[in-house]
Amino acid sequence: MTHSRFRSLALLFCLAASSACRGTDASPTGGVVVVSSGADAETLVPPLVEGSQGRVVTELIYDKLADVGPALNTFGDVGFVPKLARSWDWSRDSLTITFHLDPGARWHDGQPVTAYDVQYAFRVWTDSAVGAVQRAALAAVDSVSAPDSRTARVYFRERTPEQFYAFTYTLIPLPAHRLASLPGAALRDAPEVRSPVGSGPFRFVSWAPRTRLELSANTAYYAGRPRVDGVVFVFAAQGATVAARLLAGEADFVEQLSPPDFAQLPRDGAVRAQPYGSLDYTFLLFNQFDARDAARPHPIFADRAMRRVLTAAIDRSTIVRSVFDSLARPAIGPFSRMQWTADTTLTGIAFDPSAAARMLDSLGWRDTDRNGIRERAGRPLAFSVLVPASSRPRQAAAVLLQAQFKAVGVAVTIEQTDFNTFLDRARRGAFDAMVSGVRTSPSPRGVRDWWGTPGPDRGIQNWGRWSNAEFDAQLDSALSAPRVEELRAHIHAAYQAALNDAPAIWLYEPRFFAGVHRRLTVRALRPDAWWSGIVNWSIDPAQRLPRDRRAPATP
Amino acid sequence: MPREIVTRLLHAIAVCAVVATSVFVLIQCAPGDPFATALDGADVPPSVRAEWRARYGFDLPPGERFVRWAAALTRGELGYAASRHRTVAEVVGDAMPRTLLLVGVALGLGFAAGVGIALVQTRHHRRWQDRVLGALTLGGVAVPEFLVALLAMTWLGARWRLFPVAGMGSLGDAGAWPLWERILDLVWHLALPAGVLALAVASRVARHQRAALLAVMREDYIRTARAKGLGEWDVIVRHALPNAIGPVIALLGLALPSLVGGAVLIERIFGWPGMGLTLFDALLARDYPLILAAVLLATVLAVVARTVTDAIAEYVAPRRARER
Repeated sequence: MTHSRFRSLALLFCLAASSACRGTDASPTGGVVVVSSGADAETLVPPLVEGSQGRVVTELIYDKLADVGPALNTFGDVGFVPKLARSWDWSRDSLTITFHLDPGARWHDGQPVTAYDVQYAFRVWTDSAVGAVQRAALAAVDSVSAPDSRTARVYFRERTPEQFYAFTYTLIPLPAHRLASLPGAALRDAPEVRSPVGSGPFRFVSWAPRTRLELSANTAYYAGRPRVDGVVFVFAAQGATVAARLLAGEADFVEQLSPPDFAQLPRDGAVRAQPYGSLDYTFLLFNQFDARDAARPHPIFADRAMRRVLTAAIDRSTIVRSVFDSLARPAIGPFSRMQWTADTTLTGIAFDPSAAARMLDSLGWRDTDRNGIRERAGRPLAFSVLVPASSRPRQAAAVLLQAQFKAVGVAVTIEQTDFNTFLDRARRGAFDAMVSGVRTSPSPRGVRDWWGTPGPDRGIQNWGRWSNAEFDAQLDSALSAPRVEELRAHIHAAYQAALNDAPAIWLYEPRFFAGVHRRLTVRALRPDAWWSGIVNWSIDPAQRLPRDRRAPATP
Repeated sequence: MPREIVTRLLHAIAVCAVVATSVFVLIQCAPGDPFATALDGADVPPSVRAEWRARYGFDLPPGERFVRWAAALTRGELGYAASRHRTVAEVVGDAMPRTLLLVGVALGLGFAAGVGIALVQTRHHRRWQDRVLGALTLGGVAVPEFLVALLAMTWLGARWRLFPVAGMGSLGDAGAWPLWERILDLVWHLALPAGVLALAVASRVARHQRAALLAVMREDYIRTARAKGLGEWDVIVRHALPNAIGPVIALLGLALPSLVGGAVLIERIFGWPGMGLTLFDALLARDYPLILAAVLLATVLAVVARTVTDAIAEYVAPRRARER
């Protein structure tokens, strides 16, 4: 009897200890989260993933070595959360980082995750035959060695403030024991990659392209099994269908509700809108060169004074209120407020249509023939704005921009095109101005791609070909600054230079609202990766549905 | 007869060749390429896109690509769908049966309902039943399919939850259900997309069938049938309909291409993973081999359907039946 009581106490103690190890969260386990999405993953091979849906799925199947924390800091390793790497050490010169892998980490086929997998992943990412999308982010990494199976050592060519972020955010360890025999060029289409074996919280179950993709909980996950039994992504090409699935109770989660969806939200509270930060910002980009002759400066936008005048003519707050109501706010500059380097102390060009009109007069643009449009030397002050037909907010913003420009005597023609044409013309510089948008990353490095002077390592997507030496220099200094304060000072100067030079009118930053069914409990959503906390999502047992019936995957 | 068959076959081949060539040329004129969407990622160096283009033969001149594609087609190879990481034949093999199911059900339902409506209208010619059904069929022809689809999805799907909003089957353990339950589930999911497509077909068929029936009802043999003491329904169904249905059957052959075209929209709205959705995705991704295969197959389908419906119309015509 005494022996039995002792055993019971020991069992209770073990249970309590187990509970403590998993934290104090007493959320129930079980249920399947159905995510309604507008896009499917284009591939399940992490180095080849381009779109956001591919990222969502691969980051649920595969774990990184470490991940950025809720503050989205990318400087050094402050705030980074250990994942496959339980810990890491820096060398004294900061040119080497040694990652110590979690001994409990296993691939979904039961094999341990080793340093050789990290080494193999680096080979894949840097193999030109593979065509890894973000291999440029690993340019500063010289090599990866594996002193033993649990230790991966990364050697850098140079010290940069974001070297830890660049490596851990980009590179995802891959199962060398399954893929190493494949030549790099074959990785994209190999049958093995259609049923991936990862190391993350969810196992791959099935994928019917453009229809659905199913994952099940990895019950042997080294960081504790997810609270839900699985995640199913259901895809629909039509935006209205994506939201309708949630409203009909056929889905539990929608990444982003559009403004018209809010009017449809049921009054019984079955679906709620959960706000979270966005890394998007949208702007009216001025082409610095002539749309018809790329060698000639643009007759209107090459002039800095004209760009500033046009910026002053635009009331961005009215545009944002009219298009989004309260679901967006005016953008500040070439960044998102959610980035840790965001700067809200910058001085922008204030809305002042009277001053804009006076400046236009002084620049020689006058309405001599009284037709409401200004002219100079017989040439009307007119240009076209390119807008993708796939984006309703951008179309609406373009119409309002047209009206506001008209008020100061500027004629604007709106050109709507399909997205492929939009991209093609953007790449060729065949536009006057365009309403463009960016989904940036937590790092300020992306600013260099969009706004840096076009060159081999920058300005890849600087379609307006804006060039400003001060901006480039300050940004370079910021991205190599050894201390946070220095970085902030340089980036402030870079952003201010951009605002002063007005290569674009920064229009709006949308506020994201996820649609969440009431049966689902969702924790805080990270702006760059709403799925990052999905292991802690839970479904109310009292609201389980027939679609929740499924056996959790066995280890 | 054999000469007629050979003529029709040659005509069909010529139509398919013209359509394939036209589509190929049009795609080449459209901006973008299969790897243009890679621009979404800020870190994609142009060299990577160049590598991808070379790997799938997109760096070749358009003329050479077309010759290669046509040569492969003669060997029965449709090429590789880079956007799906599978062969075109595999993609089409998955999607085509789904579209045939959707369009087939819509066509069958629409035809049956349309003929039924026309019979009722003819029976009650110039009475309130005729006028009400006439107004409804006019509405069915006039209202755009996408609007009907969105309304059906919003009200019958999302609000009243009578039918699923989208997809082909239920989630969860539906794969383990007995066969009959899975068939019922499929029918339940088919209800909205097939219903919306059928509505348009039914409206068109009803209007044509009514006109054809009314024309026939003035014939002498109808008067004779009535004089024999047959009931009005018997007269319409047994004597008028066989003589008036031929042109409507032929109409179905002509309606099929527009039905397949309508399926692009309906499949997109209801998330039905058929050829319409495949073609739409392929167009966005500029997946040339998949676009060409989808258009070519739709053309073949239309040509075959027209030939078959012409043959059926001939077959059911009473005069031809008497000759048999």
